[in-house]
Amino acid sequence: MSSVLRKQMFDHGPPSYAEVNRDVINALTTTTWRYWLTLGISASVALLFFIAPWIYQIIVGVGAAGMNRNAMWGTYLSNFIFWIGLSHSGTLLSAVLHITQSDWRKSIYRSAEAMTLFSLMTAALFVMVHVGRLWFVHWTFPVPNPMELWPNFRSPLMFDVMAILTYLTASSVFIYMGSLPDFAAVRDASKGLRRRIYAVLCFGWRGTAQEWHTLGWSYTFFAVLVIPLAVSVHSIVSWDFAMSTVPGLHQTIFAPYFVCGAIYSGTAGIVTVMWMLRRYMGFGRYIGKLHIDNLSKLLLVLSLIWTYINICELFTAWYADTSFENEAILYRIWEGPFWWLWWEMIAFCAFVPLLLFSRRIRQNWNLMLVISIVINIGMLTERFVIVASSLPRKFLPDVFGTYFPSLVEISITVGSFAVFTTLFLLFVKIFPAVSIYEVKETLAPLRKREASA
Amino acid sequence: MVSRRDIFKYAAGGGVGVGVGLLLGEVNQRPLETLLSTHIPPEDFSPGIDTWYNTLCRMCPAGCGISVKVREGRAKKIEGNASHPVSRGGACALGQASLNALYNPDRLRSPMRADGEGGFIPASWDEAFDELSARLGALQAAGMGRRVWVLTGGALGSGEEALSRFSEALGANLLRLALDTTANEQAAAKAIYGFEGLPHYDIASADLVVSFGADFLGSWRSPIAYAKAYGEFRQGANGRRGHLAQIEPRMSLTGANADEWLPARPGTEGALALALAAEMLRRGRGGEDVANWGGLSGAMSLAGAAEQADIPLARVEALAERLAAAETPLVLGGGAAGAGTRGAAALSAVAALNRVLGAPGGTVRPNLGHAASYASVPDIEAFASQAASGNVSLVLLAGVDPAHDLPDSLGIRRALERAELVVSLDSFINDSASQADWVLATDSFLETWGDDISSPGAGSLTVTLQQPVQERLFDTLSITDIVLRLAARLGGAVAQALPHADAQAFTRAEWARVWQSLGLNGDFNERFRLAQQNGVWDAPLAEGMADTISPEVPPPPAAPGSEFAGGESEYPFVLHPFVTQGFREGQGANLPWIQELPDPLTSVVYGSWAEVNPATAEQLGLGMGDLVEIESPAGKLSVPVVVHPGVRPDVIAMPLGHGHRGNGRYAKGRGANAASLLAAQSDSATGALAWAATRVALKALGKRGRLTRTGGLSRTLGRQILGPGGEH
Amino acid sequence: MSKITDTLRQYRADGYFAEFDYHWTMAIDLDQCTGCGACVVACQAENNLPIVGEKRMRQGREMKWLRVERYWEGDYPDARLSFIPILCQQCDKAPCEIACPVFATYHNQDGLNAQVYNRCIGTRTCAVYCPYEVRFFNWFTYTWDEPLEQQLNPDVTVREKGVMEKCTFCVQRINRAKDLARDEGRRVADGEVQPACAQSCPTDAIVFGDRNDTDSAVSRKMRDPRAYEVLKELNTAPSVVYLKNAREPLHAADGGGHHDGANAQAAEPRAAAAEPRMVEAESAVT
Repeated sequence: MSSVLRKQMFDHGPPSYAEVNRDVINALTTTTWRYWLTLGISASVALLFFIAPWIYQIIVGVGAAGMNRNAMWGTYLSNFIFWIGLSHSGTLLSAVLHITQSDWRKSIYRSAEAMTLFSLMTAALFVMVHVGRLWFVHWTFPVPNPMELWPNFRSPLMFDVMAILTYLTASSVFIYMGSLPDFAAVRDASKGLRRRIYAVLCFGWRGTAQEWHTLGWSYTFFAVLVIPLAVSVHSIVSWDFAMSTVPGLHQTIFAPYFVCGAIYSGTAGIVTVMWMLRRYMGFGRYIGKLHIDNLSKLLLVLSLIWTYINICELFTAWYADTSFENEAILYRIWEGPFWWLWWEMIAFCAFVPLLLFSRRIRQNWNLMLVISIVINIGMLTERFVIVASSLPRKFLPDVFGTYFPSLVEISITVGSFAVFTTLFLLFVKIFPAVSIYEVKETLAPLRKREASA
Repeated sequence: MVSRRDIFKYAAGGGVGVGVGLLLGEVNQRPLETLLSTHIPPEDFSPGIDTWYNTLCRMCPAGCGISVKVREGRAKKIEGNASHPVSRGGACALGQASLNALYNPDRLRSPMRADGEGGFIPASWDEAFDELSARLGALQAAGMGRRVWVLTGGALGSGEEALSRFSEALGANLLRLALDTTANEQAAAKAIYGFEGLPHYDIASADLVVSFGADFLGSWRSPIAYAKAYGEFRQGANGRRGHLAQIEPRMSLTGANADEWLPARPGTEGALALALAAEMLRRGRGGEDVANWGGLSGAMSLAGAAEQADIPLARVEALAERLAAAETPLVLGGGAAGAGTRGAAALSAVAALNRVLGAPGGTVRPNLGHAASYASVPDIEAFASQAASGNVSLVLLAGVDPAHDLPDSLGIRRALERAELVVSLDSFINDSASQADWVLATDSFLETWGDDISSPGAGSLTVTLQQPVQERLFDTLSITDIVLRLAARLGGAVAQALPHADAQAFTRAEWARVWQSLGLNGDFNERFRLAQQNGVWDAPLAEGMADTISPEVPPPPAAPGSEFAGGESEYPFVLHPFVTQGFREGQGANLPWIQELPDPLTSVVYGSWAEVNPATAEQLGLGMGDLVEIESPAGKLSVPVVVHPGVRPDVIAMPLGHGHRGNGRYAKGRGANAASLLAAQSDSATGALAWAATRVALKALGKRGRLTRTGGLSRTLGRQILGPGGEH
Repeated sequence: MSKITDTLRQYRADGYFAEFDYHWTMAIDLDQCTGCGACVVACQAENNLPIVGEKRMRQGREMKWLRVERYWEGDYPDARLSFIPILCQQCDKAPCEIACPVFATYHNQDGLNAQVYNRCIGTRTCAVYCPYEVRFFNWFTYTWDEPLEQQLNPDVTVREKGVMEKCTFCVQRINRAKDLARDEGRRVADGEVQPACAQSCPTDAIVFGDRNDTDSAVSRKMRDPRAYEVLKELNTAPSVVYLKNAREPLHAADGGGHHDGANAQAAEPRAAAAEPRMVEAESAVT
């Protein structure tokens, strides 16, 4: 990376080492009333809109949701896929950029990885919201038992459980490992209880050469491990759909389609989170034009791939020319009750990102916030449209039906964003949201040059 | 000072005292009555083992034999009795759902008396019998037995025999009520075949069945027997596939299964049948028995009849061709085709066509089962006018619900209001019972004794025995039991006519009487025991008794045409009420399994609907489920529409049996009662209610109705669901 | 690894289930089926299907293991309706069986597609994968208004909320017949066991029996030239065989008449199978 690029990383000039420590640790220690208010609101929304209806649903049965005989899957499953998708960019991007030694990742990757973790958790919550008998959900794990009952390893859902758990574990280890030196930095900068907590959290990090060496190679090892995982998770999630026979779901293109869509929506999610961090946590100095420009370019490329796959999907259905496929596509894009959602998704995810060809737009933070949110709304509806327009109409026309989400489903959908926000807000108070030591790594050559100049 | 010896004495004395006390307590204890001992269980009770009883289904007049599976003293499942000549192991939806009536949450659990504020309070049987016998006794003593009216249905068992003997001894009037009666068919059989009763139709051995409105697979007469025959007719052992043509303005279940469906204009079926008969005569199909009919000069030409019926002439000619070529043809007539103002004449025309085709003696045979004589419209109107002038003191409703099942225009509801005392014998507070002063809770037919002469008997006398399959669930009695007890209390002539202890004794006595009257020999007790085992008594008949088709030459029938109530300009559509297998005239409405069973043609559940042709719907701007107001000269109601191509554009079809005011949670307030639209039209020959002779007007109300359907898209979209190569 | 793939391949091969004692199969003759619905009520009575109520019906949550589908063809006055009863097809290559993560649904040695209610966790994947849509989910814990519960069949479980259920071919009756036959040291005879729907059918359109017995009534029905499988193109190898309705094509009389696109497409291969065919005398159902 050239020094010019490095300079671009910081819009207001590179900070000093001390400033990095101060800014990041300040975000952990200084808690404004605004933070408490936001946390309070988001936690109560999560409680009221997510937990409360969920408890109601557990008591009365999944019938509280709007699903029916035809549409056995609904908003819960589409949300599950959305959240899994949102999780994709964080760790994947961080790992890829780490391996390709793109230094610009360093100030954003921590929060991106946190996003991964929390969206994965939210997605896992949706699995539990979705199933009929939550109290037996542990049967999906291969728990040894006297009846020798094992999970069904042929089931794509079983692959799902494995893939998601692996991804969750790997992502957690990845983010935690990368945070070790920063925990130590926080420990060193604080006193009392906080010092003791971070002393435990950092595993007694002392910063010896041996420790840095071990961290370096193991971090790279995990980065390499996480990349295929991220690709596999969403491929496997797509098989939940693709391995069925349902017209509109049974498609070979689904794995790349879902992976691409996942990274796409995840990247948009990162943009949103970056904006929030700049705005509310005062990280404007560390997250700058370079980041937003690079992320936007990535978004643009992904949107083009996504559009291409969508065209492919229509083409294969048209080319197959069976009543099943034709009707399914027609229902999805024109005759069904959700035709407008399909067009909305095309507008939001295929056309709006074309604006990103303009550098002015790419580097405009506020505009990018809007675009990133629009993309994720599009991606949320994409998943919904796939589920809600395929399942009600399968093979036998006499049982064609419709599906509309119930209030409980809508409420839980809204609530899930609050759950995510709450988790994220707690995260920024525990983890240094910007990697202290890696930002300093990028500073070192800069400062050297300044000193020599 | 108490010595050691004293202590022993007191202790011993106390001990003995306590022991004796405990012993006495044990001895004095009331024996436990509520626990059911499995050490010495009733003979039919072994936990985990099914017990099967053969008995009779009383959900419709067909009289099917059923086998009921009983486990742990409770009826669990109803199957067709495989050894019964009518059901032959088959069971229809309604019969199987009769368990819902037995275990219905709204079934009356004891006699109820009106509280004077529209509600009912439980009472005891003694109170009920006290009041009833006092009232009846007073009337009898005053010689005013004529002021008592007994209203019942059209079944033919010994239970009905008890009722008619009771009313006869009392001098009371007895009305057998039903919307769709067999009166016209009986009249036609008498006129053309020359015998009393109803014919037996042999569908199984026919190679061509032409049905004028008779929905024999759905609701007409004996659906199970006909369905069994239909199975053989289609893919039977004789290796021949019969052809079925259905002529009716609205596609019935039979029409849906027919090879061809000819939507004839309502009321023109008789003329078409007669024209076909004339055509057959022209083609030389007629035998010697109809030689004097000549060319049936009263008949229209085939072209004229086709035009009047609004069917393309080519299709009528093709049908004539088939009829002429058929070896064992059979023509059926019934349903709305026989329920116009000239219904009996129309059915006579159908019978004439059979006679020309030589069906009598082959596919049409006489049936020894005596047919019920139903009350005609003038009879009912007489009752209404007597009530209006205050001459009706007591009305006994024996298991019928005329306030719902029959048209309001006949005035029965008003008559019940005017009557001094109304007593309903029913299991539910139905529409009529809600107007009663007493509702005497009756048994389910699975809890009591009785019998029925099954129709159609297959060339022999078939009597099906009804016996209890389980203990009574509640404090109820059967209608026969109630009548017998009333008779015993009244004493005198009534008690003499009915000296039996209960329904079981009465049924047995009736069988013994018939046994004697037929001059049968052998051990009656043994035969009765066998009947209890088999559920049916099937007596083969002597040669002479079986063949009673008149060799006499009947007069040629005239060309009939129905007249409709309501002017064509004011009421542009003909109302086509139809009976469905599940609901019949209202009997199935309180059964949740029937309410949840999608209608075969429209897939509607929980409620009624009006069927409208797509062209009519487009004209009126109606879509599936839109609410319309249907108005006839007799009344109006609102109901959602179902748009489908199985109905003529000038006809509005509505199912009967919905729209109850009472009758329990599953029936109450669901759908609209099509019977309330019917004008008091009657057949010109027999006086039977002409329930398919009312015109209606249709008005869109501009809002959605409450229409629940289970079906989605009713087209196959080219998918090969019904077999390779597309639809059939 | 090769052992596993071999086993799977063997499992997927045609006729795999012929090795076992019984292969229960149902044949439904659409030429005899009148669409009356007796089978639907029979199933409800036998298998403790709940009364879901109008509201739940409106929500599309009916619980009918067996339903009669109906399809219109043509327009007035040349309209025709066809019925086809659809129930679990007990596929030998069942899409639902691979779906369940906890093995609540599996294939048993009689060729039945069994559902273990106790094991079900309610992911509903099996129902999504089922092309025939014959799997039903307990959205709620359904109750029976007292005393309707006294009718419940003691041989069949009552399912709780969150459980998937479906047609079992009345496995309780099959097991009873098999137990009896085993006690007497013989095979279950043809016609000895009948599911509720077949038993009640007033036209004897439903024939049930063992496919492995080549002389059974159902085997004879399967050899009928009218026999076909619904959605055969999905390669599910169903155990329910339908016999095509032998009515003449709707527009045969007027030389084809009008047809909509879908019908026109299917018109060509129709001719052979559409001839009203006689059944050989031996294949008659008694």
